Parts: sequence; C-alpha cells; structure tokens
Amino acid sequence: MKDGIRRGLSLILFATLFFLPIGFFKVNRVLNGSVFSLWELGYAWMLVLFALFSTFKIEFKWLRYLRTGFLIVLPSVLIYISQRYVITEIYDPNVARISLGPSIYLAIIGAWVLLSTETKGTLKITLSLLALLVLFGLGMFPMLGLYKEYINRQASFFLELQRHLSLAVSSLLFALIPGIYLGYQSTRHPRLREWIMGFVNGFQVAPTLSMLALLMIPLASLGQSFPFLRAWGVKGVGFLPAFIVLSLYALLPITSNTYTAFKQLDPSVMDSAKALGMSSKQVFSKVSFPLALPFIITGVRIAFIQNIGNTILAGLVGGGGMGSLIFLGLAQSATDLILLGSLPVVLMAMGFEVILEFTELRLKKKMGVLYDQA
Amino acid sequence: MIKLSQIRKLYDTQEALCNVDLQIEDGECVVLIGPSGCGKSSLLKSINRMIDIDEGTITFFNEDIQSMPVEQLRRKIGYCIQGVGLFPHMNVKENIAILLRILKWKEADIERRVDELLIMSELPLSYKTKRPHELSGGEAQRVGVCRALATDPPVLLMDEPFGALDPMTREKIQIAFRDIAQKLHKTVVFVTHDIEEAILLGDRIALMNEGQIVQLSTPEALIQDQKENFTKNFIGQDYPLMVLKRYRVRDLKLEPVSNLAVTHGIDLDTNLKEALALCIKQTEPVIFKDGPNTYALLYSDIFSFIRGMQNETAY
Ligand SMILES: Nc1ncnc2c1ncn2[C@@H]1O[C@H](COP(=O)(O)OP(=O)(O)OP(=O)(O)O)[C@@H](O)[C@H]1O
Ligand SMILES: [Mg+2]
Repeated sequence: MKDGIRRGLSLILFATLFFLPIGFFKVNRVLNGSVFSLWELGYAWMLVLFALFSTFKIEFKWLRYLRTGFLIVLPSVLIYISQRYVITEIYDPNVARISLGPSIYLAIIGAWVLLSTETKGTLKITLSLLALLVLFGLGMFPMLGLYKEYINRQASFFLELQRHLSLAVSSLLFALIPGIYLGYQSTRHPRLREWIMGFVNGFQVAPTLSMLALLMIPLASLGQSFPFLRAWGVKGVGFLPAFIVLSLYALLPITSNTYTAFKQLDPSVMDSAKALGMSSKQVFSKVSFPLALPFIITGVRIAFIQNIGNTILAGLVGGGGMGSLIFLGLAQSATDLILLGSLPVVLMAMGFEVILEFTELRLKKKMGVLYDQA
Repeated sequence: MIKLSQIRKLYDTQEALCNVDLQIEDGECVVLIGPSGCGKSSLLKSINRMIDIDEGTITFFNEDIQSMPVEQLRRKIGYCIQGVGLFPHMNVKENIAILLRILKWKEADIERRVDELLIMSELPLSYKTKRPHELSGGEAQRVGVCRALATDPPVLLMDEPFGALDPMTREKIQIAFRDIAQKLHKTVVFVTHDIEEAILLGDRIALMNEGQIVQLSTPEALIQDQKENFTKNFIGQDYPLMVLKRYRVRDLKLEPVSNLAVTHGIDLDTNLKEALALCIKQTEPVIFKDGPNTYALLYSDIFSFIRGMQNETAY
C-alpha cells in the first residue's frame, strides 16, 4: 500500500473517534451498558485533533520524532482517558466497569497503520503494543472491564495461557516427525502419495468440532473398560482428545509442505550429488534435506499458527487453554471475559507468525533458495 | 577401458539408444556429437549408471558395471552434468570439495586442491566464497568441471561442459583440459554440439543420430571417409579446415633457417588453421621466431602436411 493511502486510512480511522461510541458504561459485568462518546470525556477531543494532524506529511525531523512518540503512546492514552467518563448513575465501584467501543479499536489500528509508514515500522508498532500490555499489567486501566476480569482470575489466566501454549506446542511436536516422514515418503512413492495425502486431507476437511466429538466416544469407552488407561488420562474429555485432534490437524501443513519441499529440488542438483558417488544417506543429509528444510519449516510455521487458534476448542472438552475462558465468557454473556480469552490468542498467533517468518527468511537466504529477494 | 556392447535404452516406449557398440581405450578421449535428442546424454549416463540400460552390457576395466557397487563405480568417474547442478547452499569451495570432505581429506590438502583446480579453469581464487547464484553461466560450468575433477578420477564423463563460455575463454579452457587429460592419461567421454570442439579434443569422434552411432572415426579420417549422407551434412563443407586446429606449427617439423628478418609474431604453438590463414594472405614465406631459432613457413608446408595427415590410419 502506498504511504499516502495509509495516511488517508488512518485519518478516517482517527475521525471515527468523533462520531462512533468511545465506550460503554456497565453497572455490572453482564448487563448491557450505556453508550458514551468523545464529548463526555472533557478535553479529550483535543487529543484527537492532534491525532488527525499527525496524519499529514511532516518535513521537520524533530517533529517527526515527536509524532513517532505520540503514535506509540496514543493507544495507551486513548484507553486511559476513556476511564475519565463522568458517571452520573448510582453504582457500585467494585463491579461497575467500562468496555471499549468500536472507535477506540479503530483508532488504535489507525495509529499502527500510520506507524507502518515510518522506517522500522514493525518495531515501533511492537513497542506501542508492549507499552499497552505493560500499562495493563501495571494496573493503569482499573476501570476497564477487561482489567476487572483479568484481576478476578489472574491465577487461572496465566495457568490457562500456559496450558494453551503447551497444548499447541506439544501437539505440534507430536505431529512433526510423522508429518515429515509421510511427506518424504510420498515423494519417493508416487502411489503411496495419494493414500497419504487423502488420509491427511481427510482430517482437514472434517470440522474440528465433529472430530472432537467423534473421538470422545472411543476414548471414553476405552477409559471406562481399562482402569489403568484411565489412570493415564485416557478419557473422553480433558487433555487427550484435544491433543489428538490438534496433532491430526497439524499433520496436513507439515506433510504437504514437506512433500513440495522435496519435490521442488532441482533434478540436476540431485543427479550431480548422486553422480559424485555419494550414498543415498549422504545425498539426503548433505544435499536434499538442507535444501528442503526451509520449506519444511514453512509447513511447521503454518501448522503452529493454526494450532494456536485451534487450541481454543480444547476449552470445549475440558482440555484447558484460553478456550475455557472464552466459552465461560460466552456462557455468562460476559463480553470482556471473551475478549480476555481471545486477545492473547490473536497476539500469540501474530507474534509467532512474525518471529517464525523472519527466521525462515534468514534460513532460505542461507540455503541459497531465495536469492531473488536477497 | 570401457566397453559398451549392444546397448539399448527405452524411455517408456521411446527408444533413446539402440545397438550401440563402443570401446573406449585407456587415456583416450571419445567425443560424442550429434543433433539434439540423439541420445548423447543417455549414452553418457548409462556409463555411470545414472540410468540403467534395458539391453546389452557395459564393462568398466573388464568388470560388468551391474555387478559393481554403484557408489564405488561413480567415485571412479568424474561427471559433469549437462545442467551443471551446483549445490546452491554451498559456496564454490564447498561445492568442489564435497567429495574430498566425505573422503576425509585434510583441510590443507583440500585448500591446495581447490586452488589448483580454480587456477586451471581460469577462475580467480577469490571465487571460493561465492555462492552458485552469484556466478555467470560459464563460471558455474567451470566450477562444475572442477567438482568433477576434484578427486582426480581416472575416467571423465563431460556433458557439454563448456557450452556457456565465450569463444576466447572456451578455447583456452579446451586446450588446458586437453593437455591435462593427456598428461594425466584420463579416459574421457565428451559430449558436445560443437564440431570444432569435437575436433580439438577428440582422439575419436562418434557421430550419433537417432540413438545410434552412425560413424566412429579419428578427426583426420573423417575428412575423406564420410560413410553416410548424414555425416556429410552434419560436419559441413569446411570440416577439413577445422581439422587443422588440432595441429600446431610445431607438428610441421620445420628446420630452423638463418639470416632472415622476422615478419610475423607467431610461434611453434600457433595452430595450423591460423598459420594457414596467414599464408593465404601473402605470397612471401612467413618468417617467425620461437626461442633462439628462426623459421620460414610456406603454404606448401601445410599442404603436404595435410596430405600426410590423411594417410594416417584410423583406429
Ligand atoms: N528421463 C527421460 N524420460 C523420457 N524420455 C527421455 C528422458 N531423457 C531423455 N529422453 C528422451 O531420449 C532422447 C535422447 O535424450 P538425450 O538426453 O540422450 O539427448 P541428447 O543427445 O543429450 O540431447 P541434447 O543435445 O539436447 O542434450 C530424447 O528424445 C529425449 O526426449
Ligand atoms: Mg544432452
């Protein structure tokens, strides 16, 4: 996207602060709140004017530095001042809370879009996001519904976060070796390939939820008929069914990417390796595997990001993870709890995507398979 | 000695080689030449078992290649593949040295060997750290040749190894390659499209068409003895002139003369085609110096040499 278009887009996004709701005031966590707007926050509209001006092209260097700083703190400041809504209703300060409205979310996106036009944009956006998280953790947003939910279940929040990650990672690791093996075998045996790909694709086509349901029945009966299995955790609910389904789901990206990784190897490179008199093991370890590795890693990355999202479903079968917060929130129609469960998932998925893609690019350059963009 | 008898190779139903008989003596260079798709590469690949033949036998120093462990066979054969096929994740040095590393050569020996090969192929030593994608087509080809020569195998299979070089470097490398192959007594099977290259390098030329060897002769014998119409058309009318490139003025065995002023800057290593071109340009003898001696070259010297050359017996 051109810089001009991005600046225009942020201008529009900032402008929504003027006419879309800034937030909702709620007397407790489930009742629908009353809407409030920018004009009910005292002089906050002046801040928005600044934001609008910052979308213009700036020539002076020191002014640009000023803008960068402003944009980095803008999301935090916007959320902070939304708490200054002057409340006239009768309420209990311990349960009353504020939820963020659409315009704040849009304006935060606006700030980040604008930051992306600057040099080292990704770094600056990350900084801005980190500032937000740190202030949140320090308790600077005490009125925020999200914060209240967080404080109420701080212990379980971190426990579920940890369970979420370990479930996503362990199921990925479990699928890693079989996925690579199946992908490699399908390059060597064209006939086997259709079977393998059909098998792996099958899981992908079946909806995750129905897979979970289908697994619950045999696992439950297994656990019931064999007490020692039950002692190991073989049950229709909990960690195991989620783990199995996630592993099966992770299989496809790994297998199909491994397959293409080996398939795309230059035949003349492979032939010259063989013709040198290298054994097939040497050809594999010195030539074909190193050259395929970056593409295999692409598959692992896709599987991992997909897993982080899919792990939410573990919450449905008592497998833990952020899903348990989200589904609890849904059951209680507590929107802030739903947010508390889903925002970390989105952040994790995006964070890992950026980190893994970066490593992958480095590796591809190193292997000389991506010299066009080098 | 490599001996191919009654080779046949089918790709599905398409016949790529049929009834091919060829015996390659130790230290000899046989050049395979022919139109595109005539089976040159297939013939080459059957020798190091990159493809397996359907009928016939191939013996490698009196041993059937089918009964040899394939890696052992391939390590005795340097092979330059038509598509070069350098390893993109390794630099030039690692590419050349890959087999040396597998064979656990000492690092100092590897370094020396790589330098030696790069110098031979007219590549700067600074190229050792370059990646294949940073090389031109001709440079990559030369690195491919270095890789094939690295372990000094007794047999070389070269599939159009100099195709992408400019004419100047090409001729330099061709001559360097020929001299090294002769000095080290290499047995070479060389594929090319270029009849001049075939003449320059080949002890014998195997003309191929549609999966068969149409004619197998020394470059000299081919001047008179063109068995088929195909041969005539393929080698062209100016073939006899090109054969002169194989020889140097030295081969005329001129006697030194005295008291003559030097007229030309050639020497005994100038090839006969060039020398003939000089003679055609003028009526006077060409007077030149080589070392302390002065020589006089006449058109008739070359002419009688050609006569004698054709009387040499073919294999
Ligand atoms: N792997 C293969 N599968 C099917 N057909 C093949 C295969 N390799 C070669 N052929 C066919 O066999 C014939 C001989 O091929 P080959 O590569 O030996 O030709 P060539 O003489 O080396 O040609 P060029 O000069 O173009 O390199 C061609 O008709 C080609 O289409
Ligand atoms: Mg060929």
